[in-house]
Amino acid sequence: MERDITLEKKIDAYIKGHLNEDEALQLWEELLEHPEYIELLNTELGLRSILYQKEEKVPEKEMKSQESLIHSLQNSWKWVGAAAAILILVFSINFFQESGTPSLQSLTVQNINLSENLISASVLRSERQPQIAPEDSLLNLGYKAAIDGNLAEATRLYEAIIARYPDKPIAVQAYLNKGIIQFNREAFEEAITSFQAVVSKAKPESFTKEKGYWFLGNTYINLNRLDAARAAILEAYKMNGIYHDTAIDLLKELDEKLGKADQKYE
Amino acid sequence: MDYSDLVTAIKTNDTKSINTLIKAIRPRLEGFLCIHMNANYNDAQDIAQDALVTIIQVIREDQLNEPKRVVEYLISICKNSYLKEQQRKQVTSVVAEPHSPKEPRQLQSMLDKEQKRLLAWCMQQLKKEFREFIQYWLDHPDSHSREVARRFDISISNTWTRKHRLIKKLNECYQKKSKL
Repeated sequence: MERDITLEKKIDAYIKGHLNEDEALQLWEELLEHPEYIELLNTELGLRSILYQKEEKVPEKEMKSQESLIHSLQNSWKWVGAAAAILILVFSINFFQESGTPSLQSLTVQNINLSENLISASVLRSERQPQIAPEDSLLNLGYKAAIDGNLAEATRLYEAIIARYPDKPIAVQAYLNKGIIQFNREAFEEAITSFQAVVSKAKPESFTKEKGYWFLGNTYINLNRLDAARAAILEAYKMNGIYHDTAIDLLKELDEKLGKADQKYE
Repeated sequence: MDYSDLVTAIKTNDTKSINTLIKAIRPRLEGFLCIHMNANYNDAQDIAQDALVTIIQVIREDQLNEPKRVVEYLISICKNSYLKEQQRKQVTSVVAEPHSPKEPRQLQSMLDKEQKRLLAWCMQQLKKEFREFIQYWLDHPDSHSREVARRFDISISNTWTRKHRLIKKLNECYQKKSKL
């Protein structure tokens, strides 16, 4: 990628809100001729939004009902007062949860947030893949059905993907999504089959594999199969990804239950 | 990419080249619509597609006075189509207001929640000094690059280079992790 410092400075000014509309449109004309910078711009905006979220963020675990309630309240100015009250409540709950010794129950995922964890087709598309593929459409339809509460239809769509594209990476995503729905239905044995398919088929360093191990471990805990749970959570921990730190807490608790308290994690 | 190639391909009815060029241009227009116009991805896809159909028709009918201005024309079509669509939907009175330049916080990224989580993870993988650098840059949007250079004891030129490399590295990390 050949660098264009002038363009980089214009992008910086754009992100900082220093360009007027005409200047911004002129910048986009240049960006259309240098598409590699569109991707970098998007990455920088993503980073900024993460930082802004951190400033405003409520400590979160897998608390779907609280999150969705707060989200809907925050979207309406009329409910600002109510939202503040709920936020105080959530802060209080988290403070108290973290001030004592966490139990295995409190560390285990009880319900998987669908909107955050179900995989849909990627929004950021490469130029080599400009049109949505049929399997991506199915994945998106499944996502929509699940978010709309039509879990049976979502499962049917994920099974269709698995049947039609068994050897494609999208089948792994479908297995993961299917497993998540099964987990939330408390069909834990079925969820284990799905998550096992995820970890055996996903690429070694992939986020999907890490997620598969994490949810597989949590499913085993729900079935009180702690040895199997520890093995799966340990794999998630070893991947050194986003579940690494959370996995340490869970592993320590599992080790204590299994009489392996001398294990060290970092 | 030279957009005048698109004009040539359309005028000579070179279907293969037209398809190749359209495939390359479409995601760029979608990027413009999602990031600058704050369109959702489905709307962006539809509008970009319509804009490309329109430009092909305009070029075929020889109505484009200055072929070199294809990009400007495409952006203009996308912007106007999006605003018209918003007015038609009349979702809220706010979207019907004239489009105005956006503040940084209003600029939308095309990344969804999960993708942001991956990006946050990638950020954590950076060496401490680089993480601090990029964090400082992002946390202080009004800082002049000279101040950043002074704070990190590097030249202004190196400040821009470091920033570019870090964003590129984060983008590569995110792209790698988001793939299966």
